[in-house]
Amino acid sequence: MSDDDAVEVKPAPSAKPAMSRFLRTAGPDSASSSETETESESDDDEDEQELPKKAGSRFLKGDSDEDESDEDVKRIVKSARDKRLEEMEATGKTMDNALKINDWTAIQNEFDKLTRMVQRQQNMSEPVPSFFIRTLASLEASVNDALIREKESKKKMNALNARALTAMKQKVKKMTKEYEQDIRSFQQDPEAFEREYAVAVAPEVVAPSRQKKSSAKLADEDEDDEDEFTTVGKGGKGVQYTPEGIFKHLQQIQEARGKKNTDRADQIRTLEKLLAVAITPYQRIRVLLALISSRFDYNASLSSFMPPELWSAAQRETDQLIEILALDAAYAVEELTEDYDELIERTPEDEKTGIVRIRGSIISFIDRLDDEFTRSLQNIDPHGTEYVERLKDEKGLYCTICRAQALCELRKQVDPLARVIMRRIEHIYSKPDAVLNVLEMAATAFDFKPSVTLQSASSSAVLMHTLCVHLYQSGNILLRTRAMLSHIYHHALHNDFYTARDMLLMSHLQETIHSADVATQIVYNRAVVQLGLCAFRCGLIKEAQSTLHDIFATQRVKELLAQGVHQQKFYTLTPEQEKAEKQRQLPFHMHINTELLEAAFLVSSMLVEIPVLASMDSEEQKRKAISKPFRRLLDFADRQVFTGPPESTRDHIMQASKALQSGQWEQCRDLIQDIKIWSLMPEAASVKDMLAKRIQEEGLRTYLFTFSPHYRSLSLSLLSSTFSLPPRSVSSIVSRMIWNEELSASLDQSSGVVVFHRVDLSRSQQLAQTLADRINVMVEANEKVLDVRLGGGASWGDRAEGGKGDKRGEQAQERRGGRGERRGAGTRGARAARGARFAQGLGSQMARTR
Amino acid sequence: MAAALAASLPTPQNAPAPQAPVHDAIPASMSKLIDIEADIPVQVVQLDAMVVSKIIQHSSTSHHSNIHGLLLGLDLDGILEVSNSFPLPHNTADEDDKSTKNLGRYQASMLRSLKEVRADDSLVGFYQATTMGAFFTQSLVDIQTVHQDKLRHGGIVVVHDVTQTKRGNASFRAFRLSKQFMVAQKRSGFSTQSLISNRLTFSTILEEVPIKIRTNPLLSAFLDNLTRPTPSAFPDAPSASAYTSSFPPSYSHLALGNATLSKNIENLLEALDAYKTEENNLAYHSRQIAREKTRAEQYIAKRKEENAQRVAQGLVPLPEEDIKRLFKIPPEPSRLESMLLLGQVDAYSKALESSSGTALVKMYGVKADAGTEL
Repeated sequence: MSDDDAVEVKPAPSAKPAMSRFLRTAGPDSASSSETETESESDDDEDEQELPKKAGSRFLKGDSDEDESDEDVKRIVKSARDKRLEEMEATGKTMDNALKINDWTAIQNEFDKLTRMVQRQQNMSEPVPSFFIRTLASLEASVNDALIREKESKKKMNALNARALTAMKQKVKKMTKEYEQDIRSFQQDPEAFEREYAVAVAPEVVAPSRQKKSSAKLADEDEDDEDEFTTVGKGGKGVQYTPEGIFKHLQQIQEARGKKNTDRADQIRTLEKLLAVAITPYQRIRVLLALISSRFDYNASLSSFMPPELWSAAQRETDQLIEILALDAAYAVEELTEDYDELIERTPEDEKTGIVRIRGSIISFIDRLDDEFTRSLQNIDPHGTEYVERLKDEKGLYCTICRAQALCELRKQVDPLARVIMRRIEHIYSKPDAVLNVLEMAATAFDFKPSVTLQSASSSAVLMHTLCVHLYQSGNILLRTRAMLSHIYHHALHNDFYTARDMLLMSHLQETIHSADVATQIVYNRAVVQLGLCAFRCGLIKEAQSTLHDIFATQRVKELLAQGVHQQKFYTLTPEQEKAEKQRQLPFHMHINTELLEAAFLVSSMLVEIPVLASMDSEEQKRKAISKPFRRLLDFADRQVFTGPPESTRDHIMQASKALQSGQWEQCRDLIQDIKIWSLMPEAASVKDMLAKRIQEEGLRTYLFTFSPHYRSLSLSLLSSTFSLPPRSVSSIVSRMIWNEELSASLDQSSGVVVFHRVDLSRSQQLAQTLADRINVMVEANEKVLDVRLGGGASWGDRAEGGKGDKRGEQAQERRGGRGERRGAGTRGARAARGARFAQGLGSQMARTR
Repeated sequence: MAAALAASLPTPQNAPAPQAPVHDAIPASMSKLIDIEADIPVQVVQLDAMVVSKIIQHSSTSHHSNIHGLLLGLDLDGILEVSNSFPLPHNTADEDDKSTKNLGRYQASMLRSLKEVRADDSLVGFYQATTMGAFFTQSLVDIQTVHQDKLRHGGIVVVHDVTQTKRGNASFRAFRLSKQFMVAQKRSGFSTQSLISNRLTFSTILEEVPIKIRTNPLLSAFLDNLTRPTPSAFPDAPSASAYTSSFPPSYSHLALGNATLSKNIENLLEALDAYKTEENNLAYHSRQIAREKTRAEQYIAKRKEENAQRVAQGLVPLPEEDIKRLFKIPPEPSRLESMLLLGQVDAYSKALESSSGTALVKMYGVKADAGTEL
């Protein structure tokens, strides 16, 4: 029984011997020495420094160890302890030597080493060796001596040495403060202190030896599939992994968590072992919870990502955890629970409610898993095979998310359910149906699945709809917004332009999105861009142009879509900003191809802008551009002296624009269809056909605008043959232009010609028009200023409503005569109220000045 | 240019008659009328017919854009009598030292010559010819400001509108700077706040002084004679030519005045453009100011916080440094230029309104006439 007692009492110190033991045996063995390397690599720097050194020193005296036999257990354990002491003493000796030659740099190094060792010792909750206290005391004296000597002596120490000395002074001071009590007792009676220490250490020497004996027995019983290293490692403490001891280990690990010198890899290994011996569901849940969190803890730095192996292990374990919870309804993992004793085994029978509630959060594991996955994708080169390999893990992740969703549904946890559904949506909203099918197939292959699946929903749209509707009904505004945007994106991806547009407009997101967080803004930008692409695919050129224009006008497309960090000219980002920016980047597989996007935007701009450009007759009007980015490119292309054959997408579009301007629609069509990037667009062929048709129509319009001054009349049949359009569509286009007052002409049906009526504006008419435009602009600017002045960002709609608007309208009528009447007379919409308010504002100002 | 003018002007002390009569020599009946200290404010400006015709002649023959000259005369019992004037040479747009110097020399020699022939040589103001009533310019205000200090009664400016004259009604208006403007200029410049407190708009920069044209009685009689129709020498003449006049009836009144219309609109557009540019400048300046101000405020807040912390820790608070030294908050930009531009816009629009208004009436008249004939 005393054996067991010893085991129970001394688990912590035993961790240390195990470590050094492992190293010692690892030394001679070449196979496991490679293991050492991998281990030490991932360890803290501190360990890295120390491990080789220890191994080395072991080596020096280790020749004799090699022929140590296993039965000589006692001696080994002792030597493990002694070894450390010996090492410390060796360091002390070196320090003494250095002291003699006044080499403070060396002393500093050695002292650092020593303190580290002692720190370790303390972590193992072993008493501080008396040797250390002794050294510290003597060191303090010699440092003081040296300082005094330094002051007196004429000759200066060299700079390095002097710096080391001052550093030492500080360190010693700090240390003395830490061990103040020990030092005092040592100084009072060195003998007694030594004795005390010896007493404190004595029982331990016995304990490990007993452990060893029993562990050897256990190691024999163990299966032989584990290599030497694990066996030995286990041999040091294998006996401790009993179901009863689990909670104690867990607590120790929990306490060590986050501390500086804890070996995370070791913890994970311990927990893995614990999992293997855990029997009851309660134990397993507890161990799994601890294990998963410690896996996530494994690398602390924010910039790097979790190693894939660790990640998949964590994912597997999360699966396990969910499985356990799903199978046994008597256990629940909740974020808020009543306090319970962590060291006691709990069973459903003991609980009042019949359910064992355990503190923890599955949803945070899912969040973390997903985040880590994204981060790893951000960090892996997207053009390598590694990325593809990593991407394959998404299937597993998706399954885990689905299962978590099912669990949340089962347990009716509202908030986590919403979050997990959001995660699920994020994984599927930008995926084409084929990929979604694969994901869903994998997810539904298990019998434990969420209520909504692709099979039950029959199509991806319905699936998205059901998932999103759930979030719309949830209270979380952020999630609701994101779900809405993802839903819009999904609609747009499936060419359902009108639904997507209506959803976007009805959500009124564009008014509030500026105050949203960056991630939501990114999702918003993505949704808008996808909507634009969708309009383009559907042949709604104008819509595509206006939708995409906003984002292209900023010239920071990549940044806004989180697909690259923008290089600013006048302004460099701080490292923190850059880091934050990097973390926001989307993984490559979710990118929207910006070149394709640009091609779509420029082509739609071309189709909108070129006819408008042709219809303008004064230079002044020409300055107003619908699409500034396009106009800039066009101007640039115009200035080019020599144009070679087109290479880039832009070249293609610019040359096509020129061809369109001169009425050569065939050339234009060929140039546009030659653009290679179209191949990335789904339904490329139909898009190309659509573009050809648009080019014919817009070509006709441009031709009419450009060349109509040179004709008195034009026959429709000629137009139809020139642009190879059916006569019907030619006449419909011409009629539309006449109706829209773009073309002053009339159709002569009987002879099938367009007759042009020339109207030339006189100079004063032109001027009057310009004046009217100018004044309009000023009035609008004035209104804006007035709005700001009058306070409140209330929109026009708000102001137009209510009795005030009516009153204003009347006032306006009185003041402004004809104009006011005309405006006020109609249905009093926002426009009338707007004019009226302006009039009132001006009037009151006038009154004030008088 | 204003500076040059100022330099060339005689100082007010020695300007009015150097050999001024001794006070007791003034008869009692006149003592009320002669005020050496310029106490009696100017009520009316009286232009001699010669001055009127000289100004009209100068502005109709000259082809420069900036037509201006100096007025000479004397004030008597609240009436400023302008008895003579002479044109100033057109100065080139680039105001280099040479041209301004030349101008000053010209002015001085002109005054000297006038004095030598014993003509009036005391400056009372200047005249400025404009088109379409838009006389609000920076230079006009500048010159007038200079005159305000140097001349008796602050001087006046007579504005002559060439466009109106071409249409047959000679337009002369006399102005001087208003009190509000003077206050604003002396005290606080032309920031928004000062404009508001002084109730200053473009229409209150200048105040108009009524104008009177004095003609020789003989000349009046002659003019009266000229306009009166005289019966024809032939007793059996047809009724249409029964009376002849030296001014035969002309049809120039029926002209629609289209020629100036586009010019007018162009000018208006120009003024609007200039206004917009000025407005942008203002906006830029105010943004700059706002930015600087927030920076300064942030700094102050930070310092205060720091001090509070230090006080809590028992340390001596840091001194409140002079914010003005650390942050150069630019002064608020002057709104004068934009105000003057607004005045121009206003004048152009009024001219446009009046000319097009009469033209419209004429066109309706023609239409009505055509209607009755058909």
